[in-house]
Amino acid sequence: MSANGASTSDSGVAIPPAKKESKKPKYSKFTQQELPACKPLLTPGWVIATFVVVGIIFIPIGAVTLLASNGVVEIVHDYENSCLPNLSRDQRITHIQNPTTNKTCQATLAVIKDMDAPIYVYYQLDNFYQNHRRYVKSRNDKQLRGDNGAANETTGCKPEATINGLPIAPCGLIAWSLFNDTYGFTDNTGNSLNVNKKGIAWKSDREDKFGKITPQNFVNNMNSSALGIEIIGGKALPENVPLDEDEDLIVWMRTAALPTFRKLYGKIETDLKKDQSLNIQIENNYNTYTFGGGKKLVLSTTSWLGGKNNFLGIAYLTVGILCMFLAFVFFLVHFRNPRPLGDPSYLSWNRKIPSAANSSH
Amino acid sequence: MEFQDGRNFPLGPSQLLLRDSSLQNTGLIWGVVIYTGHDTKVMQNATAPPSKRSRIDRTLDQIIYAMFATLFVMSFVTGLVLGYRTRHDGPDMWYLEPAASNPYYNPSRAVVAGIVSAVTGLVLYGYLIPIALYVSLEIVRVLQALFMMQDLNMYDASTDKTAKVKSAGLNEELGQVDTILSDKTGTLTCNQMDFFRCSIASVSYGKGTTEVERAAKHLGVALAAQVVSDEDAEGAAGDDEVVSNPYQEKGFNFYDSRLLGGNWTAEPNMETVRLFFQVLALCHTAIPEGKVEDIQSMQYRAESPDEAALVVAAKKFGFCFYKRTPSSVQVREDVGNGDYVDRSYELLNVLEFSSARKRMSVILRFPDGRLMLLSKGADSVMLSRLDSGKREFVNKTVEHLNQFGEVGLRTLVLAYRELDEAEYQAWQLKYAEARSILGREREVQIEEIADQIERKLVVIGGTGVEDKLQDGVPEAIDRLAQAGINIWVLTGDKVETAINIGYACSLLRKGMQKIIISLEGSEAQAVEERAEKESLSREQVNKELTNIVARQLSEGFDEMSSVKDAHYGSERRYTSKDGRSRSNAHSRESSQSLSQRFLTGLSRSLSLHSGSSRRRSMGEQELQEYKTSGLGRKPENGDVFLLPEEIALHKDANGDHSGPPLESSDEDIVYALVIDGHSLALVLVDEKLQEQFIQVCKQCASVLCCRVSPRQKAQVTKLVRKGMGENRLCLAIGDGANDVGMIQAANVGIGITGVEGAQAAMAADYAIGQFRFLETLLLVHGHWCYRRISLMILYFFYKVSIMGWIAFYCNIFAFFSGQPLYNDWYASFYNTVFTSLPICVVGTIDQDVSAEDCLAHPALYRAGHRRELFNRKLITSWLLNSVYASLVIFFFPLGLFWLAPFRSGGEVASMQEFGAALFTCLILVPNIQLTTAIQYFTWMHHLAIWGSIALWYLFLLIYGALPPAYATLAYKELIEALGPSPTYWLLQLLVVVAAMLPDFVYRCYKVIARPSDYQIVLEIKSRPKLDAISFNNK
Repeated sequence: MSANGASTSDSGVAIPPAKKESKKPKYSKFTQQELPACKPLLTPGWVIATFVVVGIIFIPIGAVTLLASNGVVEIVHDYENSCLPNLSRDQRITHIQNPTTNKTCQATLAVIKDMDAPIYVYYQLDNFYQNHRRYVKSRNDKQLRGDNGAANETTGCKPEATINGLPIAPCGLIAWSLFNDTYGFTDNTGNSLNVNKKGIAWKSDREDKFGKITPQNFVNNMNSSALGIEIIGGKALPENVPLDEDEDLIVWMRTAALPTFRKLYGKIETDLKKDQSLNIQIENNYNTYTFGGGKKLVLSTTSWLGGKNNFLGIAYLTVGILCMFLAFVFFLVHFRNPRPLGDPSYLSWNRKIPSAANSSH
Repeated sequence: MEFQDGRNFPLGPSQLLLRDSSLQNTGLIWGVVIYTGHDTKVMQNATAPPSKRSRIDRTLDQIIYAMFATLFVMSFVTGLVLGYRTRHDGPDMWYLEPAASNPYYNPSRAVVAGIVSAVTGLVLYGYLIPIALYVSLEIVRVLQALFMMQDLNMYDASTDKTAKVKSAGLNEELGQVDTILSDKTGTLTCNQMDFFRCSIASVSYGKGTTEVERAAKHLGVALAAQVVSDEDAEGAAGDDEVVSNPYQEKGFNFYDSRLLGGNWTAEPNMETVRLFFQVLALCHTAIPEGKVEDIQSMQYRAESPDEAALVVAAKKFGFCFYKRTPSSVQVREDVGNGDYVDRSYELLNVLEFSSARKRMSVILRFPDGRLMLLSKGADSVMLSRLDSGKREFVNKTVEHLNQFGEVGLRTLVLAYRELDEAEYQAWQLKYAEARSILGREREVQIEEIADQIERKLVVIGGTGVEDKLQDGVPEAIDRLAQAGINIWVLTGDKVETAINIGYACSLLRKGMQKIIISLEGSEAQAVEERAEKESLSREQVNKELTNIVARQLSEGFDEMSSVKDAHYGSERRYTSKDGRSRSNAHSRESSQSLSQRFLTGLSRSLSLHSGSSRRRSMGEQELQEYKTSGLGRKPENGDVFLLPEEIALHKDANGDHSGPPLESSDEDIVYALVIDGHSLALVLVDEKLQEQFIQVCKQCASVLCCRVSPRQKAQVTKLVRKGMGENRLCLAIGDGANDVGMIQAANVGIGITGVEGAQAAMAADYAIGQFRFLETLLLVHGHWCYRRISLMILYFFYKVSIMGWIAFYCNIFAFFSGQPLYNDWYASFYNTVFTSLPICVVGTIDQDVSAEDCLAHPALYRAGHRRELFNRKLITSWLLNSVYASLVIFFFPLGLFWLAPFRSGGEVASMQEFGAALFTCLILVPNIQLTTAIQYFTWMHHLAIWGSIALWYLFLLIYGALPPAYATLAYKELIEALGPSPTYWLLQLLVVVAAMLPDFVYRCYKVIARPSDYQIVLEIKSRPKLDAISFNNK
């Protein structure tokens, strides 16, 4: 090894020392910061043009969306109070918490405009914090997917994880507090209208997030007084229906973003005619009275954009009109007092302001 | 040093081998190591390198504190509200089973719940604190630095060095510099001395024009006396540049056919000329390097470049010094007729140079037996030790040297004395004795004894050595001045020399009013004289001198204010055109009072070796010396640079002044202050004077400090920083070890990697090869970096603030429970992935105007002085804009998803739809907002901005395609829920436009009504195109 080392070093000496390389940086457009660049220059003409163009785009969009929204027929029925009239808050709570009281409630709605099928039926809750951290976390997705042995997965579900030492499925506060009001519709001829409850949940939820697991030890299915539980939860789940077929549950468990929300209850697949009256039988089971939440029943058709919501249309129109107005203002400002483009006399150091010399620094 | 055999050798400074010394011409050396470790000069001089932070960084800290305060307030509110609501509403929210809750939401333990929620809030809204900003800034600054180092415009081919960046953290400071403190030798000048002119036996030789002459010509100012080679037979050739000089080499830039190529033998005073050349070849301490065979390529190592230039000159004249032994000097001499003879001169004594003596002599025995003392030195010391009988050439020589000095040359007088053998022997004994004295006495003794022999000198001529200005210095200074930067030059030169160099490098311009503070005048001299007579104490003298300086300063200040008053007063009277009479009005006032005190530009002599000596020993001591020796030499023969009445200032580099005549530049009077070292020393110790001094300096575009020591340089720098206040940013540039203090004291220190070693470059924040690169560094890179960093910080706060606010709004709607309405990964990637790249690209390569335009319009740089791109107003408006944008980004999706189904299929939005749509807007708005903040798009910009947006959709797709266990809220979100819905896409367009509207309106308003400078420059640039458009429209 040493001999080898020596010989290499010898040959190394024999090689004439390489000429010192210049440190001169190599030219490239990038290193010299001369990359070709697009340099759009905002000029008064462009300013005005931009606002006009935005206006021209936005105003029609606004008009169209507003039109779409206006084409939607929406009937909202607030039954929180009307179902339990003339009662104080405490009385209502007592009434709603008593499992034996009759909670059926009737209402008649007038159809103000023709409503083409499908007519979507929603329930709306106010002041219900489905997005509360404690609530959102209180579920077990693994269990809901229903893989092998999933029924025992209840981590994170407290306080609705186990009952008498047995795992609850579906566990957690969300499933436990499942909305349990029901609606029945009959038209003025007395024919009951079928409410289709299939296809109200997202496909991905049905197929991938919920699986073939049937409810077990579900508290709402038991006799709560027998269990000695003070407060009752929501809807009972049919024991033999796997969760991925229980679309009410799936819809409910896709938690809402805001404390006021609507959820799809079902679809009426019959057209409703104008001035037709609609009889509704409401099972007013769900307790919103303790926390002062509102309950509404909503019937709505949809347009290509969705339901009745003027927000998008009004916002588009507002922005569009504002832009047109701004274009007009800038037009006035510019043509009242036009500034020659690229006039060096506008450069700050060419402007003649005596005070500037004094005040500088 | 005592040897064992009893011999003693005195050790003195001449035995000292400094660091980096190399050993030559000797095989053996006895050495004693002294000054080790902490006693070394390096360690003694070492001050802890200051940690410099840019002003923007400091402002940044303040914003961060403000953001922290906001964050704490938000969290506090969160805790308070959650605690309150949990206590009051919690028990009723049966669906939470609050009673069974852990303490976090348990109504009975609302305080705990509140505290926990506040802490959660800190984490949730933590996006408000842009931690990534610091990292990004560091990365961007390093990249910016790499660009600087790669810039070919800052590559110095002569030394093969690129610019070096040591503290990239100061990049943006380069864009706001308003005061440059510069060293002269080696910084403005090359520190390469060229033998340029000489005067031998009353005849002036040499052609060509110096930089000073060129500058004078350029300015159209008449020098009081043009240096014309008198009796110039060639006539007109003397005026022209010597185009190609076959004799030119480093240190030699002299051309005169009468002396070169052996022609000197034909000169009338041939013997004097020969002696002149012998002095050049013999009177020095240089060491030759090279082979005797190849005598023309002989190189010399000398104490100073001045000295080397003289020896090189001797070689060129045919007197080639080629060997030195301790006792002899060997020279190959031209004896006429093209023959050369090697002669050996016996070297008897060398009376070395010191800054106090300002001269050096050698005593030699010529081969013909004559005992000669050859001497060269500054005229001030040489002229007083002449032989009164032999003053043949004195008057003419002095006249010539004055001319040389005036055109910016460093001058030396050459003289000789033939010694009497007996006198020499007697002197020699005394000298040897003095040399062996130990202690402080020795130097005094040696000096005294040397002084005894250096008398009765006979002048044979003088030399003029040019310290050449570096390439492009006047142009660079001119542009920097146009950029509104005040330039201070701190030099060791005399006042007169400094003024002339000032003109040469465009530091003083035609029409500038000079204010000169100097203690060289008769007043100061009178004080000194009185002090000597009445033996006043030092303090008293200083006090009187201080008063003089104070008076001069206040006079200067009064002048400026009175001129200004007159100026603006008159402006009211003359409303337009009549600029002429106006300028007359003020210049009369000012020039009258000033004219008496204008020092003439006659720089007659420069101290011998001044370059190196200053570096070595300039200090208080030399200052004292200067004070005593330099007084009272005020030539009265009129101003050199006559100040013209008309004040013409910067011409617009672009020549765009074709429009209406712009009078502003004709009206401003620009002041320059010249102050000498002694006055400066007094200023530096007196607080009141400092204030006055700063007052005056604030009004001056250029300040020349003459005769300053390295320590004073640093002190002046500190004074400038302190006196001018936080608003000023000063940059120091220098090349030598003596500039280190100044470089460290300044906000930004620049080192020139020149011939003086690397100390300055090591201590500096940036190192460049040439002074003129400063122009590129400041006007281009500094300007850009200032813009880039400012924009980057503002934008960063904008985007983190949006995120922080949105997190807060979400929490409001989620009962303050700390549940984000979006997937955690969205938020984590928001700062790091989806919005970071574009701003880093902008921070690295954004340009408002091209490099070319930066240089063509130096005044664009003033935006940095005005803090146009980073100030309280801007920070506030960006933050307000972010609050507005956050409201739009949050509440527009809220409005859209509020209750009603967002699809034709009747589906209503849940948390995942809301979160994903919200985040889509959140990623679009900042990214697109950035496009309105810049006007420069390369493919990298496009890639970064549109790529980031595309990446978001891609992320949503890919992440959504993962199994639901991983994808959670994002599962099939885009592909199933949002993508097919037109409202989702309509929402994005709406939010982007609405969120950017106020900012865009403001920008448009500025374009139309109050265009910024760079906007106009861009318009000028694209005017042909714009004209074409408007032409078509017609």
